[in-house]
Amino acid sequence: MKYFLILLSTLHITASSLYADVIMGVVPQQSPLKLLKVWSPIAQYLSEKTGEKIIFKTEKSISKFSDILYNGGYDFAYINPIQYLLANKKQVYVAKIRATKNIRGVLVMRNEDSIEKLTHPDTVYLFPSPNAFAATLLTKYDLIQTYGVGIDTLNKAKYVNSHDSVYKGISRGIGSVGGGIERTFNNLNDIKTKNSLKIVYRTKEYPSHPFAFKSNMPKETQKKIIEALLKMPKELLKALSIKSLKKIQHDEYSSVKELAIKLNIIQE
Amino acid sequence: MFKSLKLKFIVSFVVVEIIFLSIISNINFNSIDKISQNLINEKISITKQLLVELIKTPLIVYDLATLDDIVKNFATVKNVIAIRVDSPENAIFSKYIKKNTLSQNIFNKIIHTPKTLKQYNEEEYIFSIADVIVENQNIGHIHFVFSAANNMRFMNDNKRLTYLTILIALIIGLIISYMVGNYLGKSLKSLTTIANYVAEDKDVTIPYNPKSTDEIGKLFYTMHTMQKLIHQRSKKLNTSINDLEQFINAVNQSAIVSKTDTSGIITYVNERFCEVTGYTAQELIGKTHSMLRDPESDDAFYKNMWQTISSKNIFHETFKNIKKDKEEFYVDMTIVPLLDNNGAISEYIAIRHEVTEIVDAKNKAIEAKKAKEEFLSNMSHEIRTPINAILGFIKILQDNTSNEQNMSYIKIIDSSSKLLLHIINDILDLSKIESDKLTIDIHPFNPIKEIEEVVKVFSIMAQEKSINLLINTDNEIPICLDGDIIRIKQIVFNFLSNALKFTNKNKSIFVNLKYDYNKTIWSISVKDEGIGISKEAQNKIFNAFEQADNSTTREYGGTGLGLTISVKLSKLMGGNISLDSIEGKGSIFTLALPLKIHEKEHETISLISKDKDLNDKEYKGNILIAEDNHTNQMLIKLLLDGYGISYTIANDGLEATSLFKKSSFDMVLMDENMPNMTGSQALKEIRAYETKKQLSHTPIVSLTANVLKGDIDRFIAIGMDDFLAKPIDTKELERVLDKFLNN
Repeated sequence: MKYFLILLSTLHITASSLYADVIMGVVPQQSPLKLLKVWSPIAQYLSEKTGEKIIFKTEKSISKFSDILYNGGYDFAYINPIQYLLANKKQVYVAKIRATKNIRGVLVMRNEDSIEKLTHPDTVYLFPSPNAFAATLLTKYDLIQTYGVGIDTLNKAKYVNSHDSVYKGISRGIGSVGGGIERTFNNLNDIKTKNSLKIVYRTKEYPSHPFAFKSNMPKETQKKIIEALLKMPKELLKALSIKSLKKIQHDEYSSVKELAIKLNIIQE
Repeated sequence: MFKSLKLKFIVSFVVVEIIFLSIISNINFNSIDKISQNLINEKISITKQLLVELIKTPLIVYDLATLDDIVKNFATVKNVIAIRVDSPENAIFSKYIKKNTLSQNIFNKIIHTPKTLKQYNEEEYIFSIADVIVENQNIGHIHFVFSAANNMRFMNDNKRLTYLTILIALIIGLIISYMVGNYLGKSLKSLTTIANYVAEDKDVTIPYNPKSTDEIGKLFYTMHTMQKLIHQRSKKLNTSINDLEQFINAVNQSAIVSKTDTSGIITYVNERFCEVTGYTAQELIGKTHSMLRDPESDDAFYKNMWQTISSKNIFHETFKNIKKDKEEFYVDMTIVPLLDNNGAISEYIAIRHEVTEIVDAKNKAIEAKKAKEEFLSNMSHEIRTPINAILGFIKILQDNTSNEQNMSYIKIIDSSSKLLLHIINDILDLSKIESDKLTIDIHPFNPIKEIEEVVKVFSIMAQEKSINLLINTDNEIPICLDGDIIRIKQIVFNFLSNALKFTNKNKSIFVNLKYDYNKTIWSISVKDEGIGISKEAQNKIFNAFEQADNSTTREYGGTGLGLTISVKLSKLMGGNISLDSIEGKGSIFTLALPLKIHEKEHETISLISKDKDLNDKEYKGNILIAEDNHTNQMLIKLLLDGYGISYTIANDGLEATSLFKKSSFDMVLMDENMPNMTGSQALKEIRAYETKKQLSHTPIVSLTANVLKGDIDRFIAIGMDDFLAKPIDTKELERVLDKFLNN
């Protein structure tokens, strides 16, 4: 209860300080509470390092977060590659930095379930949100490509808001197959859930989530934030399950763009 | 049961304390229990409602991570032990059991037993379930397990604390009550001992502190004060008892004392009682006082006595009793009802003094007084009758004598007779005043005219002595006043008589009149330039038979009764006489009387006009005169002739009744003391005759020298119409003639 109150008050503060402060948006791949725990120290660290007031902001759902992102609601954001491509196209967000390690989607099942359930017609599939890059789009693409299972046409998919909910939903029988990513699965604190699951499929690697900055953001500010991120203490990085960060160019996401075109998410 | 006050005090204090503390704690526990139950119920209700609302969205989208977070966070709420969220099909969506509180096994037991309050391992749990409904569709339900332990712990802590407080209060109360009880007990024991000593009149010193503020200290001080008071009262009481004993002794020596019960039975007699009555105490006790009663005494007397004393009043009377030897004796008796504490009569005490000698003396005195009055009455009759005749004949002689020598002798006889009559009248007046038989007759009169008349009487004498007699009025005197002018004139007459007597040649006498309209007091002063009166003489001059000194009598004559009578008359009229005198220079005698102005003006006018017509009156009528004395017959004849009235003379009562029956008369003048038949007897005869013959009432006027008040009343009472004193005063005669002939 206490955390909720903190969260709600924080959201209020961000709204009223939209134009004066630097808003850092984070895609809600995990529960808002968990995000708050991880990202609040980072926002504080960045504020101290840059001298700017960095405000952490997220939303209850990925779709709502996306709406705000596409409308330029954040000064810089930690987002998934597809979101980045869409945002880049609409508001000219530019990716400047990301985790050194690539991203890869995974499919998980309960330990006791057989692999046949992966393609069974009655199987219910759980995904975080329709546009989650690795956990939803990559895994759905590979299920069609590799196993011929058209999930959207079977109408057996449930979007449960976050990666953690996917894992917990599978563990507790809401669905049998769930899409996620290695990092979030590995980071899952719910050991009981984690232990009850197994990864049955891994997709190809793609560039991981970028920190994308609004093009019109003052360069000096961008530079200060990028520098600070690169020098971020290890314990903060560990909370994000990231070993290190590196500077990148927009072109690094061409492979992702290619895939998105194939999936009709963006036009060529 | 508990003999000592100390024990009673302690036990009652502790019992009361226990009862009250038990009641208070019971009320306290019940109310805390209820409050606690209400609070926890409210808390559970709010928690449930809040959680249901919070998990709706995660449940709809199967956001189990968020659901877990919410559930986990909710479980941090105090008293919440475990929460489990199930799907409608009872699949577990989320579950959280607070660490170190509940085993999975017990949790399962709790949620599968349909009880709200459950107890496991000496812990109490409250179980509740809530459905999550969205748009009338059940999307899950929540199982809550709350701990009642806090509540119980709070209750138990409260009870323990309360019991501890009660125990401490009891111990403190016990100690205090023991100390106070001990103090009270010791103090009261000490006070009881002291009170016993005081009651036994033994010497004891009461320890006290006058500055003490507690009740016991004050009680000791009060006891000390009381001891002093008792001592003082005992002393007074002993003195009183001693006095009373002496008093009783004195009473017993002099008085006849007896006591009776409320029904009149004698319960006590003293020695004096026996001594006087001749009875012994044994003969008297147990009897009533009726054995002493005079057989001739009136029952009403004893009835009145009993009514008086039974109404708690004191009875006092002098009456006759009979001794054992039948000898009569008089007692002056006082009976006092003795009252008990409730105010009821317990007995009567009678104190008698033998007054036989006093009563005898009194009776003798009364008889002597009666004899004196009779003597005076007879004297007045016997002396005035011949003087009446003398004066009447002097007048006739004066009218018929031309010899100057004889005339001078007649004048001497006249003045000597008048002086003699005056002296007798004075003696009679004084006698009447002293025997309370003189009455004051109030009539309207003209004050100036009346006083002028008196002054006129003395003016010739004054002229003869070459003394100026002047009358003066200080202010306007009312025309008519109400009063007894005969008596006023008598006083002024005395004043002038004295003034003239003691004033020498070529000196003056002033008569001054004054009326105080505010106080309605009429003052008449007579001032002379005579010999004056010494201070010593002024004090006794108003006493009867006393003049300034004996030489005065020798030099100036007179009885010395004039001023005494004047003072007594003035007092009878409500006024007074004052004297202001300087020896050798003169005296002022002032009569001051409260007289009111006569209210009716027309009467005043008629009175004045009547006064003017007084002289030379004439009447018409036929009068019967009953008079045995021949001289008096002649005198009456002369007077009536002057008025032109016809008359018939009867020599006694018998002849008068006989004449009355033969002729018709307008009026009868009836002497009393006549031979053959008295005036009273003749009156009866005439009245009887009138009744018998149905004749109209003929006025009968008593004509007698018996002029005492008692005589007048007696004559009027037997049926006389009026009264004329002898010697006959012409004005009085005219009054009677006016009354009965002119009407």
